[in-house]
Amino acid sequence: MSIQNILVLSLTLAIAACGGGGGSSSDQPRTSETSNPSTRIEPREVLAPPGYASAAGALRAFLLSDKHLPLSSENTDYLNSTANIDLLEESSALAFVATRDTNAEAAWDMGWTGRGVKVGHLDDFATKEIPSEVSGRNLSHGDATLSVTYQVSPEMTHATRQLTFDCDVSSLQQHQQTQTGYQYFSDNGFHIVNNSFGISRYYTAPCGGTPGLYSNTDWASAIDSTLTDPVFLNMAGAINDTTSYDENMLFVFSAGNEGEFCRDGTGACNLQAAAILKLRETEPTAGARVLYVGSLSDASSVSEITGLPKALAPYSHTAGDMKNDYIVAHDDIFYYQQGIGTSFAAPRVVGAAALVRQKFPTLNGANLKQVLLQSADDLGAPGVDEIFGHGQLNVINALSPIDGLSE
Amino acid sequence: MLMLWAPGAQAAGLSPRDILQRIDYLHAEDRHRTSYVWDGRFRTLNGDRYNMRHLYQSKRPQINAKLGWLAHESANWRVTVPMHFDNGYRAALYRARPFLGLGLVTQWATSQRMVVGLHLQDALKLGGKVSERACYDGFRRRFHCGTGLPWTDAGQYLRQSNVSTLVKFTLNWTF
Repeated sequence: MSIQNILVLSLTLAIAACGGGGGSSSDQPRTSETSNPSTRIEPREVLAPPGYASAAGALRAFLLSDKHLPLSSENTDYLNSTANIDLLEESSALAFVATRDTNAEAAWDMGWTGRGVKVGHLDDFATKEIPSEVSGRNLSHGDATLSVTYQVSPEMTHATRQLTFDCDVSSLQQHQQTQTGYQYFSDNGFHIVNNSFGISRYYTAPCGGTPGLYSNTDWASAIDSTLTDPVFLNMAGAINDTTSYDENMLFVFSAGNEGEFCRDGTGACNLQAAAILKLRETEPTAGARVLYVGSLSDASSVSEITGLPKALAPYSHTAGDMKNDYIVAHDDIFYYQQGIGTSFAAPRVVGAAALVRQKFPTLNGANLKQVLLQSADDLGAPGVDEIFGHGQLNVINALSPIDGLSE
Repeated sequence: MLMLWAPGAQAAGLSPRDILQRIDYLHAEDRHRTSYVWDGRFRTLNGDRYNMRHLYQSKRPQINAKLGWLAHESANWRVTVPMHFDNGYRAALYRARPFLGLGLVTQWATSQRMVVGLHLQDALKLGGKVSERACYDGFRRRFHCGTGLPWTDAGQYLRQSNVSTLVKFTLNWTF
């Protein structure tokens, strides 16, 4: 099986699983943000001026822009006015869920808004497939992922590049779109790239065929093909490879949504992750600036009240052998239980990375990744484990000193 | 300070006793006074408390002295040169250069009961510049260990010499 074939099949399949949410709205307030152990401190005199006002304004401006209308909620037909955005913002049960579940507001208060950081989104902005249950109009998958990033990092500079998830688009064309997108981001000094797509070993077949796992032979062949792909190598190759994309770039990937069918973890069920693991056999630094993001279960927000352990979303690929490259985050789009999929967990991490990059501009992609990993809240078994990897994204920890301070 | 001025004074024909008599006042203490040094204690955004005091502790003795040198005194006119010296501060992350400030104080007795004065203190300032360095976390991210801020945010809060020129008119009336 050629890499092109795998690309055309898996990209479309993955996106169907990621973005197919839309889902039902809920009047149940999300409570997960109370779980964040970070203590929000009042800005001291030396910490002025606060950035919250401008950050909220930037987010509002983004949500009001043409590309991201209409948004829907259970109470408003269209969030196409300042009044409606205000309503959304003020409601504890509604949107900006990523702002709240990442505790990004605490960062905004300190002036961490992502200003000046260049974030690229390689995604499908053409296919409006995420239903808006009230308006009847749909958002594209790219609209949704970018909106999530903005909810965390509202003053970033963004650019989008189209990657079409459509059975009618050739795999070669998709590959070219990926190559063109990455090259654009690299050539233009972009720091972080969101990649809410992936190739899973479980074949869900929206474009025909029988669902199931790729055979060992086909999967091994796909990995070998990936290892010859220059686009993959430029992104995930050894960090001292002079042909790779800008070393300051961080590539954040969704882990994948076939966890119920492929239970061996991201390292075994995600093609690029599997290729990175194989590449590391000869290049230990391979994938140093590639980060995988899994989804926390929405139910975990309830379990925090009951005291039960947090859980990975059942559809999310676990960390598996990629545990050292894996972090988890919530994955709703605008409000609780609107859409599910690791596609919307990844942009939370991208937004957090932008906040960190804003204040520590000398971090290269590999170090930025490690900052996010090392500052995560440990979940599950103590330490880095095969389910949660490094644990849950903690924006505030990522913005604070790690491993002490010294001269 | 006395040693600095003694040769010149002697050259002017002043005896040690004259020199002592010329000292209008002398205040000295073993403390740096020309800038405010961070205490190194802060709380970061995630609530962690840090005590980086050792990075702001001086590596050498601190001296701050203020001396008034009586330059001229007559029945109704008195001229004093206020001198201000600080030997600076040197710590791992904080350095203040030695400082010398000079001024001029003139006082006129307009009558037996009234004295008018013009005070210029630290009008001429030499040295005293403050420079700070960042500290680093485990990822070599630069922070300001006085505030806990990222170094990129610390610029407007970096310390400077706190010595300002003082201009003062006085009117003393005895009754």
